[in-house]
Amino acid sequence: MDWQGQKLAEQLMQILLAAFAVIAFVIGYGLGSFQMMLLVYAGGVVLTTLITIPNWPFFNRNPLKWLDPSEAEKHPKPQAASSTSKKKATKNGLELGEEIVIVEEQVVNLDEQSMPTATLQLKLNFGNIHGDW
Amino acid sequence: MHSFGYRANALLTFSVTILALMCAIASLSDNLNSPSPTAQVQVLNINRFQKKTDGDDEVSMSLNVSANLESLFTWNTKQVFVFVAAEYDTPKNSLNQVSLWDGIIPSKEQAKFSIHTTNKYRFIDEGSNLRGKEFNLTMHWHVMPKTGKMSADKLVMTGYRLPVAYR
Repeated sequence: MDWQGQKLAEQLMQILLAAFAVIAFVIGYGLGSFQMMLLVYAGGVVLTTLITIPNWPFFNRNPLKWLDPSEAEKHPKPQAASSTSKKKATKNGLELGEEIVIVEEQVVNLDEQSMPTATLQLKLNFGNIHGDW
Repeated sequence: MHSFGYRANALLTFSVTILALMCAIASLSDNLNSPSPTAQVQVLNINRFQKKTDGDDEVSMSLNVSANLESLFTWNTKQVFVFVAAEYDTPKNSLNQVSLWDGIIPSKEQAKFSIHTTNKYRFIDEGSNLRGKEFNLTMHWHVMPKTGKMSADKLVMTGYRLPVAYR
């Protein structure tokens, strides 16, 4: 059952039970029979149970969008080791260019591995929030 | 409302609360009823009037108890308990009440009755004060509901007197 369905189920339960209570009391008082009131109310409770408790499809009209499992496998969770710096101690005489290249590679790695899953997760958790704001 | 168990629990507690509310309103609806019962008790005969060996007086009498208690019944009445008591005073006690007969009326159809009976319970005094004693016969009734508060009332009939001498 999705969120909208749960709210609907709760509202339905309260309204149905209250309505059946009023109907049962009016019928019982009108007929002058306490037993009739209890029987009508018991029938109402059973009917409400059948409508509200099982997981009917009409409670699931706004299903949650879960991440597809095959999609998740393509982007494994980032390991803690990838973010540790592999910076070598600056050595005198080495070309600065080498170090810069290495840093760039690391940046590129981060992009490929962790960023895609992060964006996907953001979309899931916050519904339709776009990046425009 | 997350799972089957949550919903079942919520429904159960809510339905029982509403049931309690319905019963309270049903009990309150009894106040709308204004009863008008009638009753009459005749003492047909004093069968025995002796002083027992321990010194107390005892009376055995035949009664004709008739009443119409139909207006006491509502939709919320389970039964009416009715009893007839003799009331008198003595030098020792300002009020003595002795129950002579009782009965249970289970439904409105049986609420109009006329019974010819001897006293169901023994009429024994605390002492020897009953010769020539003037007493009241009071009919009490307790209306027992199916749900809610029990109510009780009575009807006092005066003018009865016991004989002056033992027989």
